[in-house]
Amino acid sequence: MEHSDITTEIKHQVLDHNLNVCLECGKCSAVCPMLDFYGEYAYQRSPRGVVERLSLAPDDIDDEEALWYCLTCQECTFFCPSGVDFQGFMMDLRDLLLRHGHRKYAVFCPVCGSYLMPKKEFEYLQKDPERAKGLGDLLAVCPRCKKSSYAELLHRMAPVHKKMKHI
Amino acid sequence: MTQKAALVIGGGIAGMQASIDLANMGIKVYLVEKKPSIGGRMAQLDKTFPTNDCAMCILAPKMIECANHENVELLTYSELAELTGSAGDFTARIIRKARFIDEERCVGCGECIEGCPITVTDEFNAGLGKRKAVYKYFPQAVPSTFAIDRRGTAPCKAACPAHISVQGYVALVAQGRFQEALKLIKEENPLPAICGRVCHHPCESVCTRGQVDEPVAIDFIKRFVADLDLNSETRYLPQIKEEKEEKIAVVGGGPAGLSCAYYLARDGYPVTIFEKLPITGGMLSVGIPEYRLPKETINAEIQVIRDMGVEIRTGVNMGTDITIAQLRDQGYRAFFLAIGAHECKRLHIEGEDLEGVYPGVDFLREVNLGKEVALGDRIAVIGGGNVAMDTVRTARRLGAAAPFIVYRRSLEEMPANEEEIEECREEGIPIYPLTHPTRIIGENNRVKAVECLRMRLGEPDESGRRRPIPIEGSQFVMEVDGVIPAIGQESDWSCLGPECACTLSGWGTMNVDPLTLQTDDPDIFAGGDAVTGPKTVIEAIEAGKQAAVSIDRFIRGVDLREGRAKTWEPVKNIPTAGHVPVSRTPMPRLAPEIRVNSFREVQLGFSEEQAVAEAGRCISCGICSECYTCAQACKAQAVDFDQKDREITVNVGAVVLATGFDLYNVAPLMEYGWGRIKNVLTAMQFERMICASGPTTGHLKRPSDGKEPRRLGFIQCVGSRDVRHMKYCSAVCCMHATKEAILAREHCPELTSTIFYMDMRAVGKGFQEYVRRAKGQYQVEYIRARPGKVTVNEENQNPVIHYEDTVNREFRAREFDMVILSQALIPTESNISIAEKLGVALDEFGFFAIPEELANPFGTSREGVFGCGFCQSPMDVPDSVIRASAAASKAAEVLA
Amino acid sequence: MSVRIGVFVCHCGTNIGGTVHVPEVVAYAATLPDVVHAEGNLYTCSEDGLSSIRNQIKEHRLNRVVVASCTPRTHEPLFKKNCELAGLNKYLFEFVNLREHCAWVHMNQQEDATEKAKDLVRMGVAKASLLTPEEDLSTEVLPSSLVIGGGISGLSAALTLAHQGYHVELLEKSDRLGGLLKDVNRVFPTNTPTADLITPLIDSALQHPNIAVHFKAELVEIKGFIGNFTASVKVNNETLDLNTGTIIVAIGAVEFKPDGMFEYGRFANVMTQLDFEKRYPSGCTGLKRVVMVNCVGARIDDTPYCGRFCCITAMKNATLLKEADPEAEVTVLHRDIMAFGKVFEAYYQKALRMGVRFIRYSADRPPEIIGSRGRAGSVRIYHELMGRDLELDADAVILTTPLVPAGDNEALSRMMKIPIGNEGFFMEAHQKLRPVEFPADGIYIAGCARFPAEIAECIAQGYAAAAKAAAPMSRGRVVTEALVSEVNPLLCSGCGRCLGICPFGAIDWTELRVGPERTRQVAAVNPTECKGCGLCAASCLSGAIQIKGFTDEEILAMVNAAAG
Repeated sequence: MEHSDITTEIKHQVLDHNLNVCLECGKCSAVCPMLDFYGEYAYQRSPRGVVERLSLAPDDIDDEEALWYCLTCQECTFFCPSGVDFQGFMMDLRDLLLRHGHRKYAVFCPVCGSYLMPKKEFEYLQKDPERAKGLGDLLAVCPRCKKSSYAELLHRMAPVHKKMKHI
Repeated sequence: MTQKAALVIGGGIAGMQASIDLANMGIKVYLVEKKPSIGGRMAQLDKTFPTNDCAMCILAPKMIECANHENVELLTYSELAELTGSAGDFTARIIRKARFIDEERCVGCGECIEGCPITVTDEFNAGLGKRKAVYKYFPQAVPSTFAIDRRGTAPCKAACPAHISVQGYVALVAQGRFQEALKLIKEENPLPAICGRVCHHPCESVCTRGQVDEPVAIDFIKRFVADLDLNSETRYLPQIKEEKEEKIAVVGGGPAGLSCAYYLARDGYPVTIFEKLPITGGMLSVGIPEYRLPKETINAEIQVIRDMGVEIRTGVNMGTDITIAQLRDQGYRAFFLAIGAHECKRLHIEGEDLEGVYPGVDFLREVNLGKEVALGDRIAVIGGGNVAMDTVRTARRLGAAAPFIVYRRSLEEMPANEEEIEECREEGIPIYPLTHPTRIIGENNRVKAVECLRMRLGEPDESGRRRPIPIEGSQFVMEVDGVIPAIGQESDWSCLGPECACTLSGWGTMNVDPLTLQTDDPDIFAGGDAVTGPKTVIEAIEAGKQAAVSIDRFIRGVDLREGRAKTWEPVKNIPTAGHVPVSRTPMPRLAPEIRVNSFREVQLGFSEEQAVAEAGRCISCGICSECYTCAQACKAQAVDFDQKDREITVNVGAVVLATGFDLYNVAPLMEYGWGRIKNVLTAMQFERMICASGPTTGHLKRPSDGKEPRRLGFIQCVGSRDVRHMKYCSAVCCMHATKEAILAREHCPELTSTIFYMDMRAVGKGFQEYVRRAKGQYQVEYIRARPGKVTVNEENQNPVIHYEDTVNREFRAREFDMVILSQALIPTESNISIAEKLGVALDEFGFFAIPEELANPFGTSREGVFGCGFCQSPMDVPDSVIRASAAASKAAEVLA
Repeated sequence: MSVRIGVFVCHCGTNIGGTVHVPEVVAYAATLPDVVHAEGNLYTCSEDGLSSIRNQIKEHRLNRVVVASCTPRTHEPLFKKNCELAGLNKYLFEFVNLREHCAWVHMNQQEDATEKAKDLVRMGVAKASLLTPEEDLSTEVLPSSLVIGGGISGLSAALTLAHQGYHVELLEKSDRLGGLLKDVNRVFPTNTPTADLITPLIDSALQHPNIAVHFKAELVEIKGFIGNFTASVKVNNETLDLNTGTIIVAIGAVEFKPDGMFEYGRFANVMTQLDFEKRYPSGCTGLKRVVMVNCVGARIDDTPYCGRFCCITAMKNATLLKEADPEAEVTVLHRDIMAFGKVFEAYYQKALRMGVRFIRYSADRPPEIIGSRGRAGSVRIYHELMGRDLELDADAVILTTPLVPAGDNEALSRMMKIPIGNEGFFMEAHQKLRPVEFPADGIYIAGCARFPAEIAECIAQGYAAAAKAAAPMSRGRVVTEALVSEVNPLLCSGCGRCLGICPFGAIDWTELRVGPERTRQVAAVNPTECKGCGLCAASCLSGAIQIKGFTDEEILAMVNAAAG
């Protein structure tokens, strides 16, 4: 039951994000920085591969690591001659997968538990601290928690407030 | 009544075919083509797919058939202005653009090209080559008439009071053609060496180069050319036309008189100049100091005029020594009064007659005539014009230790040339602006001091300058040794006797017809400062020239006015993008410490290198420079610079549109690097390169190093089938790239081509076979991929194509020697204006819309107006030809 | 009358004058036999030059004119007309090309070029002295046209000709007009019912006073040439003779039936696109899963061409299926989507957006139809982009096949001497610039008999062919240049080589009386059809054929002049 639900939803998302107008031209893969990022190219997880497989056989791949490679950087979406909204699709798809409990390829904020980034990306950044330098505790907590912890910190640093004047 | 005639717009293959078919059906055809030749895009092609026929070989006979057809009237270089009426009875107004070459006379020999100094990008060669401003659109053009690419009159020429072809001589100088440049200048100005020194050069103020960096140093270039001639062994003398008998008298040997004499002498008239002063040159000689304008320059230029046969009598006081009546008796048939304005205006303040007050021009005249003028140290020169500057600097050179300028308005309002003011400053001469002398105080009848009033600026007056207003109680006194007022001049009209009927204005200037310069005496003409009040040299020269024209007409008894009321509209909206700033070449000057002690010329003149380099900064505003080299070269006398756009009106029953296509600008597709990576070309550029009549005469040459490429990469659908650019398929690119790959291999047997495509749309007759042959016989590789980007290998400038092969799912980066982008083909921009004029609808892309796509594929939204070929939808040559014949048939129905 | 030649040598500005020393050539020309006047002109083609030619013709009683200037391609008509103005027969004019043949190609060899120019002028003069006056030929053209085929192309041609006032004899093989479109339900790209388009055309053709429609007409024979063709047509066992000035061939083509391919004929639910339209004329199919296979019988070794609009037909039926049932799964297996141009690319985009799936396959691994008990159940396809097999369930499999030439092409080709190309379609005179004409005058081609064409193109071709036919009919006459070939019947051996070799069908047999009772077959040229190409003369073993204006004698005179 749950399985067919997710398939239907994926089908809808395929339509919503124009995936069916894909002409399989391969421009998205050719501009995808993933190649430089992970140092290798695999059709399975290229934008085109994902689009084609999801449009043709959405049943097969609701639990694949290949879906957790995209950086959602928007390069492919910008250059797509057919107007496929791959980035939007990927974000919605991950949302959908998470809602359906697919958590094993993702990293979550240890504080609030919200989705942080794909595990693959997280591992990559951790593996090479040089490249991850400057990203700081972004790796550890989600931006929202980071902001609220800043706020908390400020509260702690300046515990005495001037009383607000009530009119 | 139904008109048995049709209008065809667009002279490409479709337009020509429609015209020929209509004409063969006995219908009169007006074929309107905006370019100088018919032939359209097909003329740019080397070969045509899938037969590899030489495009020109099959097109040229068609062009000739079209042009020679008795029922076809070819209107090239023309555009539709308006269409009124309805199907069966339209009236079309057509603008026939001036091509400045007479179609009837031009025989297409091409002699005109040789001398043209202007080189522009050749659009026919898709920007790969250059052409001249006078050009034939392509070698086999029909009509085989040349055209002059003329945007209009350059601002410099329009601004010049004498309307010298400034852009023309600058262009000639840039090519080192100094003699020709001088001849061109002397067409309009007989005193270029003088003007090159003292002209106020309004040309430079309007120079478009000034919008990029600084104006071109036009005046200095002119001076260089003129000096070169004056210093040469044989100076340039214009050819004297047929000698005439009628004697002409010119009164006054200043620039106006000299100019008039020059042009009359050139026309063959015997001319005598009567000059009151002992030397010639008028104000040039006695008004301008030596350090600005050496006497030898003046004399050299006047000598040229003497060499042309002009007699100059100096020291003759007209009115006393001889009168106009006597000259009339001696057979002088016309007179030109150019007596100048040599009388200094008075200040009208107390103390003006004290000893030590010298009127400015009188002072300069005395000095220039070599007389001793005793001055003290502190000299107040009153005024802000060039005479004031000349005076103060002359005073400095005569030993006055501390001369200065008193001027009642602010520095910004000073009428003197900026460089004069600057040179004044360099020489340490103070200028006191906003200072107004109210009284000259004397002691023992000699000047002792000047009383002045401080001023402030009020509202602008009628001259547009802010009016100076005295500041109450700001009087102060300056101790001085002398005062030189230099606030303006007027004329002395004692030359006129009772025999003259001409009259003066309230300003003391002569009343003349402003166009012809004729006075109330039909045989007396007047010009220069005597008519205008003190003005510039170049204005005086122009007046002299115009007087010469009038006098010649007067003597020949033809209308004085006809065709002379010419307004000079400068060309506007000149594109300046792409010009890299280069600073103006500075004029070498004598060091200030040397020059203040002598009358040696301050400005030293350009060297040849400087002149050529400076001339190279011109951005050719008018495109054609109006140097008239072509006109001189044309043996058939076909060049006509006075040609104007003409309008014709024709009655037609039907209209066929065949406006063809344009090439999509691929620069915004940054990922493919066109314009950034040298060895990335568009398909049309490659087509021109491979064409034997193209800029490389058919040799494949990499733009980066001229080497023959070995590996070509073709990227398809560049701008086509792309939601960000053109959504549609351009219909011909697949076969076009296949053709180019085949041809390239035929040119260089070791060359290989790779075509990156999405769908190989080989749908026409013989197309599949063509692709098969390309793959087999010519080893063209087809890869199904839409490349992501093109980068460059900096070492060898090879473009690198990054792509995913969508068949074997491999990602690759492959290096090529040259990459060719199959750019989208788009509707011509002119469709928009044509649609507006015709009242027909365009579709979302700008093609002419077809309301009934199936039932009437040649129709438009207006009855009686039909379309064919690429202007309705992308299609190849056979389809365009079919649609053209079909539209002709449809139009014939309307006319039946 | 003695031969009096005038030679005019053009400087063409510096084009010729800059390389060839023209005064020297002029002086030389004056010394040649029969030359009574020679002069140089700055531009012979200018009014000055032309009037000089006219004056010299009168003054020197010239009866031959040689102009040595540029190319006959552009300027011969001008000079010929000029001669006529001065009262000289235009065939007594000879052109020597000094610009393209000499000055331009020897730009840097001025002396040699001048010598060559003399040679060329000498050759021209030698030929000129042998020229004979000729008269142009003129034939009357009947203002009527025979249109063969009542499909969309033929209808279009017939209607526009009728509207223009010409009479049309419209031959239709069957008992209905409309051709192939009769069996098509809806038309792309508008997806409107075909009847909306075709019925008004049929009605106006039937009602038009200028159109005579002959149903069930069988063409038996065609005789004659441009201006006056006679077609023998059998209608209901009755033979009609139709006289027309022009002919338009619009016999169309037929859909390829892929017997034995992709289980066609074996499984009941495997059909062609046309089968599909015939089977479901209402559009209600009830089909849930449909797989279409494109390029069946196209772009393969046997039929190498692309059917041009088959992809679009598949898209049409696919989108109609989706419109009828948006939940239906429609998959198109293709090799390249030929949605060329503006309209079809948009149509393709529309199909994609509606959810029609397009899957590419390669010719090496074609789809496989899987089924049992006489029905297809699924299609297995190797998805080359995904790199694996997919199996698509199918309630029906529709094969997209191209149009192939109709069977009548060959008979018609023989009857009218019109050529057929490799693929069995008629071959036009020139693929790019004369796409609706045949090499022979007066016969034109439109529609799918030439090559598969979609509806708008068929209409355009019908109109285009009509435009070509209207040209001679509007003038009422055709005038042909006199420079045609001529058979000397006494020398003709009757071998017949020339008949086979003439590309225009201008040569036929004729009877030559060789005795009181005996005749013999010899070749005869119809000067109206002859284009003067010279193939026959070159092929004639007996030397019986000569081309006027290029006789052996004239050519040999030039050769001798060149050699000597």
